[in-house]
Amino acid sequence: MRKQFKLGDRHFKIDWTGIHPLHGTIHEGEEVREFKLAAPASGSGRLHLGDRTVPYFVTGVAGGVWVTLAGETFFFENSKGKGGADDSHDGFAAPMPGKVIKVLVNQGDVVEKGQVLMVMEAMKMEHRIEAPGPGTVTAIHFQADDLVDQGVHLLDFQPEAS
Amino acid sequence: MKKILIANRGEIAVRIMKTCREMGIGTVAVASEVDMAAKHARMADEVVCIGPAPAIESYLRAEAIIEAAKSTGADGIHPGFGFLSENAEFAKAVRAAGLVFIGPQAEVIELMGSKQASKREMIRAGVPVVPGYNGDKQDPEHLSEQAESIGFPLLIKASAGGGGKGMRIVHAADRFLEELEAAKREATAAFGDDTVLLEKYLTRPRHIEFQVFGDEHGNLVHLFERECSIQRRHQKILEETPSTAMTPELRGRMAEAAVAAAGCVSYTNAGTVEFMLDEDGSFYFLEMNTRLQVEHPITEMLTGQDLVRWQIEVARGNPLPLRQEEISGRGHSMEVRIYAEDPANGFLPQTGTIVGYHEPQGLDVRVDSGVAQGDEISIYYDPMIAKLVVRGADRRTVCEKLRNALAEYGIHGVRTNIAFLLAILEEPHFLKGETRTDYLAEHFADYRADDGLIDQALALTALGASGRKANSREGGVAFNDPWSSLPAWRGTK
Repeated sequence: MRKQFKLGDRHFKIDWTGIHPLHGTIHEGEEVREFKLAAPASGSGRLHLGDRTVPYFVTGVAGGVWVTLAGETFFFENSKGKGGADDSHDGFAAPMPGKVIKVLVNQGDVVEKGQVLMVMEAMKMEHRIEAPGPGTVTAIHFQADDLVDQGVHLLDFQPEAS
Repeated sequence: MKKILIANRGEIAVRIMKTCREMGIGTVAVASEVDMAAKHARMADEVVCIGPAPAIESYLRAEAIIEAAKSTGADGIHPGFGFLSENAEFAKAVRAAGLVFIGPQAEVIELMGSKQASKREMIRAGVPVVPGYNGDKQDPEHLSEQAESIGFPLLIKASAGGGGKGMRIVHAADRFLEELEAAKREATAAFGDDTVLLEKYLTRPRHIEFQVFGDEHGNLVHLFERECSIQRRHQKILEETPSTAMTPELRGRMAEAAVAAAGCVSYTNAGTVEFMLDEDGSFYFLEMNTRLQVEHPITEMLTGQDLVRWQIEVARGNPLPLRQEEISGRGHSMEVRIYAEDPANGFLPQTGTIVGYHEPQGLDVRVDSGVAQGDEISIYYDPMIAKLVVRGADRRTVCEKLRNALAEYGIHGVRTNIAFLLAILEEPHFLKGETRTDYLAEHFADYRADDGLIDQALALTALGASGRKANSREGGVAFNDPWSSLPAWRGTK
């Protein structure tokens, strides 16, 4: 799963590779920071910070996400991806917890619209990850037989410049 | 009284209704058109719409409110605070309509509403007022003599003044004539009148007030002090009792003055006598508020008494529930006011829909709020949306409890001052009790919200999608629901 936000004049791109625990990277400008946090997968609870837990609350709305953590509240406003599309809804997020059963492309492959890139299975349902248009697969985050959490970012895709 | 109309809105209307309900008294809410679904309107037994959103067309319409009381058969009106609560004409009109006004005598409201008349009355009653000169003799020699007898530093103010124009602080006698000239020039330019008044200038005062209560039987008590020095632009944001400046001796003297202030007008019902306390222990009458105070809950937490219940009993003509010697304080209590405002952006009031709302809970943790999830914070009314009040054995415990409770307060949809309040509760001078009315200007002039946890907060946005839709009463809120974007599924064997 990938989301892009802005907060004031700061811009963030977040890629999650795991939800249990929360694991992934934050891109801010040239800077890349990694995060790994144990938190319950619900909108409110307590998060481990060092040897203590602190309360958090998360509320998603149409324009972004409100997060309160240890008394500080942030409103992260959704921002658009490079292609103009909001790629928090890209087809590359695992729609539910499950297992990757096939990876049909390699990193660097140039693919066509509709080409199947990856297949995963969950609750006896098979889900095909397809290219939304012509472009290049720039990274693959999971291999066959990997178990994935709901919402995690399965692979990176760079649409062909039009 | 069997049914009370609450001529107010928001958290105070909700709080008054709670006591009415406990006492088996029916409740009538009044609401503007935009407030018909607000929390106070939802909570009441009956609700009457009294006009469009602007307060001048609704909550300030005395006739409409009295008419609402008559039409619903309410026999008493509680004004809360703000709006019509200190309007003597309203108190008169309510009583003329044969209804009980839950508050003091109209003449007392009127007297205390006038700074000059109340100050004269206080001088007569022997209550200390800020020393000063406010006379017609304006020649510099005379004013200079007056200044000497008041002492320095002192304040020269334009009689016609306001907004700081024609106002000068003079720190020493040898600067007086020079500053007087400047003040008179400014006053002439701004108001066309160079008359000035002189007043002792308190450099670093504390704001200390006493809760007083009187009944129709001549009983008059105080329920200790509240310190409200933490103010931003004269707006209180944190209050506590007891005051860290207090000694038993000082409390005795101030309480005596407070009771004398209320006694000289045979005060009935709840009132608050406000003082400025100087660093040398001298204190001066500021004004008397003839109503329940926003910060009354800390007195309730400290004493274990329900002041709204007291107000209703007194309004019924009953004697005060307790005598002075039966009133005692237990530990320490503190309140913070939660405002819908943006501390990172000049404390601008915020409007919006509350999309997520979670109140803290705990032993001696009290939340008086006027909102719930789905409610709208509009431009029409005060941005204070809740008060968080705690009580504990001592001040240190209270600060700990308040910090924990603030961190567990989740309000989403509008920005609030919660993080700002937390910062105050961690600031060393505050923790030492060094609280004066200039505290925020001195320590928080350049406040910046802490974003040390921004990465963790960003990581948590992943959880913003999960199953909150059912909790929202607003149709306009959409969520990043992964199920809504499911493509390309097919059955497997």
